[in-house]
Amino acid sequence: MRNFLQLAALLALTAASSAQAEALRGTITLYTSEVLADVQVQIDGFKRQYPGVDVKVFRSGSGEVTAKLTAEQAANNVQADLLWVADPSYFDSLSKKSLLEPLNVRGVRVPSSALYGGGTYAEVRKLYNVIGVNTKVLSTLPKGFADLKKSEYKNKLAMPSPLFSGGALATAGTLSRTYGWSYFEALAAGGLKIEQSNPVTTTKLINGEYGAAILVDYSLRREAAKGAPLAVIYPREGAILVSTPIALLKSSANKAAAQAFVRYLLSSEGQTNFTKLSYVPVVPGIERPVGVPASVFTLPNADAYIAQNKADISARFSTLFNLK
Amino acid sequence: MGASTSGHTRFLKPGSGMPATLATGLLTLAVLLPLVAVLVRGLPSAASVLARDWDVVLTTLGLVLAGTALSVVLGGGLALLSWLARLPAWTDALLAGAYLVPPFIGATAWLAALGPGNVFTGRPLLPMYSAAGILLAWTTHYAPLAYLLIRVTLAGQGDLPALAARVHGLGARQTLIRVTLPLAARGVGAATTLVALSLLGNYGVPAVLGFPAKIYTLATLAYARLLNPSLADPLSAASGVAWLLVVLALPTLIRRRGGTGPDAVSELPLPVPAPLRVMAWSAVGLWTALAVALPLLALVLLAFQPAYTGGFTMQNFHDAFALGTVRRGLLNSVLLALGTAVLCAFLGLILARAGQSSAGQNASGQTSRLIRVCLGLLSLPYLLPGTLLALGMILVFGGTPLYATPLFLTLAYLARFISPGLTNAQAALSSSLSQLEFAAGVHGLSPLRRFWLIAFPLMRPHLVASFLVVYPLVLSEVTLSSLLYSPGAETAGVGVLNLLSEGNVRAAAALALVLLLLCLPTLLVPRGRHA
Repeated sequence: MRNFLQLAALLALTAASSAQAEALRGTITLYTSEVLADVQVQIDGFKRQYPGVDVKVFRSGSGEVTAKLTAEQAANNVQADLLWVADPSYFDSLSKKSLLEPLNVRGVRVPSSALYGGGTYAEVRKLYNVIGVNTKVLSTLPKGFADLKKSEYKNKLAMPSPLFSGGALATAGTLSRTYGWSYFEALAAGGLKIEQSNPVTTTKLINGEYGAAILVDYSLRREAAKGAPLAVIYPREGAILVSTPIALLKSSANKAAAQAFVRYLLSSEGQTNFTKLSYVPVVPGIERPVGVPASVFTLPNADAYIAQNKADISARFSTLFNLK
Repeated sequence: MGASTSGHTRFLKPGSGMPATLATGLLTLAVLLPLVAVLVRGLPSAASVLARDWDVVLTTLGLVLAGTALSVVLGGGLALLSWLARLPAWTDALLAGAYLVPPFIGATAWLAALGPGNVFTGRPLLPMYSAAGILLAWTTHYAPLAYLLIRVTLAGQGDLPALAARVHGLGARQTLIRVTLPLAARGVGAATTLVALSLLGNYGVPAVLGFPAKIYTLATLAYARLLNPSLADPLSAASGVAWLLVVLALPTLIRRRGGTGPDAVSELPLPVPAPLRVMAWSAVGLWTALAVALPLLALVLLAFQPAYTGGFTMQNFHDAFALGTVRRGLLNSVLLALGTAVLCAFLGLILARAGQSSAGQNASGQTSRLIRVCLGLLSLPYLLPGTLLALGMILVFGGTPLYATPLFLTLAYLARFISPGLTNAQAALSSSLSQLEFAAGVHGLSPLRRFWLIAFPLMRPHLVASFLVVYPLVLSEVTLSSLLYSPGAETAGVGVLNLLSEGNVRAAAALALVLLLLCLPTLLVPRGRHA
């Protein structure tokens, strides 16, 4: 009987939502720095529920996406409805300029900690900066960020550049605030190499050019599953949460469809898709990817600090590692 | 100059000077508008960039000079051997084929062949993240360009000058030094200019091979500035770097064109000495093995191997083509490449002729100073980093309905690649050509018939060369497209770059191989001497 009621409720819900889905039409454009194949999975799922909506994607690095959007804003001809990049400070500035539409998260179980800027932008899944290790290169694995200063890891370490990668900026900002710049000075003395992006660093770590690297967790997990000699280490001091929020621009001409896309990402199906793609879901109760601790212990969030001191962090890091 | 005083000018093209100059001027303005917009933004930062980044200026200068010298000497040497030994046209595919591989794909292929974790030994065979690595990737990509341009000039020279010299008692070596090479000077000059400008503006190779070793060129510096979060006005800082690029490019922009162009397309069945034939074929073999087969094999292995396990798979192709953007991008790129290459070749020709006729068709085929300045300025969008032109395009056209359409990309490509089209067109317009046309005019041929019957057949090799230079450039263009493409108007190059930047090197290699296949038909177009 209970099962029957559940089924009936589910059917009623489906009928209601499909009636709503029928009503939604038109095109929405997503500007993002996410991996295209992964975004495609979510778009395909969304389109099964909303066949009348066409989702177009502009995908590039965070810096390029925001540069394009800024230029479009200057020309007063913004093409994007949705923005989804790894640069929380950019969202912060858009939100403060009142350029973002409040997100309608009715009907999804998004935790309040995942909503930022008064509900104008939201985390849809979690990325963490962790320590990736090539198990063929290193025999003793580091347990945390402090271990990386040890002489046995000298000239075997790398991380992406905070000047290019929003994720790496989170690493530089969080670790320098928590441990002071002396931490990076020690790593610089130990020959820490700076690569351009997360994927490039991952590839070189897999190739054995490095023994360990500070980078995002999901691609390490994914490559390890394919057979790469990688270990993902959640540092004992705490991992670093990399904010990659999504937001709806006020200038959007198809807000209803765009809101529906954000709600889809936060729905059980969207969240399960993220798990299948090795990302950590943001909604509680959704199964997590294999190898991810039940709750990831993190260092205190430094997004606000980074947004305020972005120029200073980038400049100090550049000087220390001789970046242009 | 002094052309305006010559009597036959007005006889040949009455009153055509002013409109031609005006048209050229207007086109130059339109093409330059985006750059002007960006350069104005960069003016305040130019001095501080110069003060801060002297080392980058010197590195760039050194790399570009070395890369140009290597490319022109190697490409020119191959062209000379190929011409002297009468190598069949199909060898062009081997000698020039590497030019079809986009530079950043080439750099990736070299990394896969020789770098750390390479597909052959897994251990680094050469320090690829170095100036040497950059020069290797540059030379294997741009020597074929020099080869194409110089080979066509040599073919256009024909055998008669050398034969005449030999008949009059000059030895083989003296003929080469005193007749053949001086006659090829214009082609060598055009090749040197084009290669130097290409290297100066090349972003892909130093981005892939220079960044990890902290080797910056002005092109990568502009990009780094643009995305640097520590700067108050990144666009201005990046545009400041653009000023330095303009300064470095000035010597090539005000270069005096010298030498003579093609006289007649005639090749005689001269005997080829056996040692020369052996030398030429060895050079082809060596080049093919080292500069083409080695990186290509690495690329093929990348594309057909699954990660980590070895063996054979089509999965990488499947991964790439599963993306709608990749499928649409391929179609768009082919159409854009065909359209832009044809437009560039003919627009270049029209411009070059406008320059010639406005100055009067005197013996040296000189162009008026104003038009020459315009033609020089038109090469700016080609040599400056594409990112700057792209941002300028958005600044200028961003508010118009043109924005986010394929036409917008076409305009940007046209602005960027009109220069290579023009360089070839200029080489196509030789003094003897105007003399022939003049003679035809005297004999009563209308200008249209004169063009169709005399000028066009003689210029066709250069038009083909221009097409061949532009088509692959557009087909795999990434720098402009990555900022200017819009959803629905994607390009194939962006597809490769995205896969690469997402770390999916194997799917990127698969798509790059498909792009290569699409470029292959250009190799089948017969080169000038068979036209």
